[in-house]
Amino acid sequence: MNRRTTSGWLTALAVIGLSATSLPTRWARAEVFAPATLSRDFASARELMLKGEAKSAAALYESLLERGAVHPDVYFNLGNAYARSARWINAIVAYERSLRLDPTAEDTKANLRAVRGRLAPNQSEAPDAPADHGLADLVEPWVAPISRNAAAAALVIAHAALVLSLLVFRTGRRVLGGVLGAASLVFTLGTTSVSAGHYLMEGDARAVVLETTALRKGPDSRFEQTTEAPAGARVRILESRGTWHEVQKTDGTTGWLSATDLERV
Amino acid sequence: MELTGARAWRAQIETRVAGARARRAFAFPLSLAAALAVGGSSRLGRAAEPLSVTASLETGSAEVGDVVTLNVRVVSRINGSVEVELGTTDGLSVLSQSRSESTAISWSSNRGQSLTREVGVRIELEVERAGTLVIEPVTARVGRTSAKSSPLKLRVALGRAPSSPARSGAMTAPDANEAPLFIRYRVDGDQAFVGEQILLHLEIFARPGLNFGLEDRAPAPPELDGFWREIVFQPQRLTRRDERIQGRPYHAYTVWSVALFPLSAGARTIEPVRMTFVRNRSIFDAGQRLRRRTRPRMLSIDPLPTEGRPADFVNTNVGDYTLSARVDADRVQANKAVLLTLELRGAGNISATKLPEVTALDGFRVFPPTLEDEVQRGPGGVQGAKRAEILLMPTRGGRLEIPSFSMSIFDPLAKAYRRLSTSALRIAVDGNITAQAPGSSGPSDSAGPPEAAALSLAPIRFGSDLGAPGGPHATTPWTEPWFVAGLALPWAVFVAVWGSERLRIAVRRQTPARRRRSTARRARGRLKEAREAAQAGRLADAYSAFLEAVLSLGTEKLGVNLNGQTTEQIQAALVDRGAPISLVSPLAEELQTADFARFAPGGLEDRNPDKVLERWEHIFAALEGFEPKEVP
Repeated sequence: MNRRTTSGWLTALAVIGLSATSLPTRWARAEVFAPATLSRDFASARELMLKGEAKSAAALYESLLERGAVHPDVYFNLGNAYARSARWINAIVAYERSLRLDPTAEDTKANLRAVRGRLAPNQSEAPDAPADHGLADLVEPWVAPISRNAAAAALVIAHAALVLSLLVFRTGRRVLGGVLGAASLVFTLGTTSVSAGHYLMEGDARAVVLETTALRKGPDSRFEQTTEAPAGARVRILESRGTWHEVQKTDGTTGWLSATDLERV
Repeated sequence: MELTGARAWRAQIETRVAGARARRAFAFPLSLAAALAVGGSSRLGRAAEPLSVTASLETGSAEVGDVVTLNVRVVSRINGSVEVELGTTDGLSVLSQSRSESTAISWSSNRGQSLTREVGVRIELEVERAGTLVIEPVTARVGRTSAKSSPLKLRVALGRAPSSPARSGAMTAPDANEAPLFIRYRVDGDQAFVGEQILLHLEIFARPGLNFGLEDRAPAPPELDGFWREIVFQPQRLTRRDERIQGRPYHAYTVWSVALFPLSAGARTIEPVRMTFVRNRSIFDAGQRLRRRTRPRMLSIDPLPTEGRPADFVNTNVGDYTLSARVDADRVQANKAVLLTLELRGAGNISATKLPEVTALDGFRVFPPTLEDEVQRGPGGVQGAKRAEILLMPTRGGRLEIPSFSMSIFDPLAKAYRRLSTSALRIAVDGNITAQAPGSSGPSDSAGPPEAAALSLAPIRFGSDLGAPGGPHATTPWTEPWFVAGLALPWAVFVAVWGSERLRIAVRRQTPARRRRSTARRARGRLKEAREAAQAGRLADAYSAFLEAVLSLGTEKLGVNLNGQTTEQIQAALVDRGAPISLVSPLAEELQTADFARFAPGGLEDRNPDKVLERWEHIFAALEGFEPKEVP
């Protein structure tokens, strides 16, 4: 292959690659319209909270979420608004969603403990005790801070760079092609790992129990009860059959309960 | 005489004929009869006159300064060029003239071919004085034949006052070569302070009645060094207003207006801009192109005075402003916040101004402000408001006071520094402020049911930038089409590159038939060179090229390299492979001649190039068509 032809292909590939990098940004922003408006509403909701109008603030935070401002701070403040309105389960769901997006936030964990403690002050077990189950829990602290869109975009760029290095290698520039190839391979491995981590985390379906309810041995109310899931407890969904889910509590015990008793987070 | 329209007809009616005066009651029938008698619009009249001229005005009345149009029509049935002379016109000056011609040919059985030429002249005249002006007859000449139109009258009145007040800023009159259309910068002042708002307008001035248009788009407002610029007015359609410049009426149009804020002191020049106009353009006439240029405008920018400058003055706070403060409630319950709004409003570069900072207030906890600018831009310049909304949380009950806030500005109208102050505000806080719950580092957001209020929670989060990239985590990109396409595309490109390369190699692979064809093509090319050399008289070169052609073709045909072999060897090779004698003999002869030419090129001079070429063509065609026998 002559150099002119290869250069032409390389240029085309670079253009395609650069164009592809802009797609996720555009895609993400298409879901969050008018950031200035959202920030202003966030500030207004904060002011409502400070004035003690928790219900109005909660409504405004819900509106922000509906408009696509899915952000750990929005969920956290919504949790506070629910808590100040004594809507404990709603508060727990909001805090859990905030924690999902930002697993390292200590204030979210503290408020979860406080609200769960309010719900079940006599419970001996800590409903939100950290669970050591699954690869998703292991990768979460490392992977969660990197947004899914960024990870996916980086993976696309890494693939483009890898192909580019192969084309450069074929033109005879072996040293440059080799260096580029090695760097893009490392980058590809890294981004693939992050993307896989996110994929794992997404597959790690979690939910909050809405009311204290019995866990059963099978996916039907006729099955024998095994244990109880307290209201506000976090569970991991292992399997779904129809409207029933097999869940695992933080203490490791499993059982089946109806989808109407759960709120996914 | 042809009738051109109601007004023109009336103008013609009012002409004086040999000093005679016709009474208005009988003017119409008498003039009509006279017009028909002289040679009206009938074919009979036209046939009798070899040359006729008609003049008419588009209007019978005008004002001083107006532009009126005189239309002249000449009809000639005589061979020769038509010359048109305008009579003297006291009180009128000629601005422009344009001319059009057309020729019509007609046949008739009794007269044969006849040629009719029509010339139209359009003259724009500027009215210079009031009264009843007489336009002397227009004379048309073709050779020795001439004809005159009737004189015309124009009633001129003095002009009206302008319908809108004249704008501020001196406006210089046009030069002689610019009238009746010119462009100018208008500035609301040639001297200003640093940071003071200066309004600059680009305007077009045209005499009333002038028919003109822009040839290109209007020039954009220029970027000016040393100024902060805001475009405040740039209409899509120009709106006309009336103005008087040195007593003369003009139609004025504003092309754009900008607000300039000088950034430093010194002399500044606003460079001229150019515009191109077209006058009297129509579907029959491309019109006259006019290029106009503004004059450069000098501005003198003074520094802000140092004497009397307040210590808290900020350089961007220059303008005509007022400062106010208000709260959203003057009575609140304990543990509820109030919103304090500070507002600076007025005319100037409001976006660049700085409000006084509110950091600590006795009895309140002060949160960071939310700033907002409200800017209005219009032909009057830039104005608006800058607001700061500050959340205040009372830290104790009772009557609390928010003190007055002050700031210093420079007022360019007063040319002095001014102090702006708000009035103090009073807030009544009912109830006792509860102590902060342990573990909460921010203001309490407790309200609602008592059990909810008693709960100790980490406070709400402030200042999230919801628009920051990477913030939202809601999307699942792996399911999006772009993700799959983005991953697959580079590999698809790689496969395409590799595949196209393999395809090209396969296509270019040489098969025996392809090789034979390309050899024959090359041989024909050499034969062509041989032909050209022979025609040019270079027989030695021609033989050399011919030799190369037949040897390469023969090598390909026989599969044996004939280069370097003797003529006899080549002959024998051809015969062995079944070549006919009609090919072998002439070929051998030419090969020998080619050898001869190599060593004694002068010996070919007596050869006839045409015959040589003819022989070569025959040999080459026979060689091309020769199919050699297979070697056993």
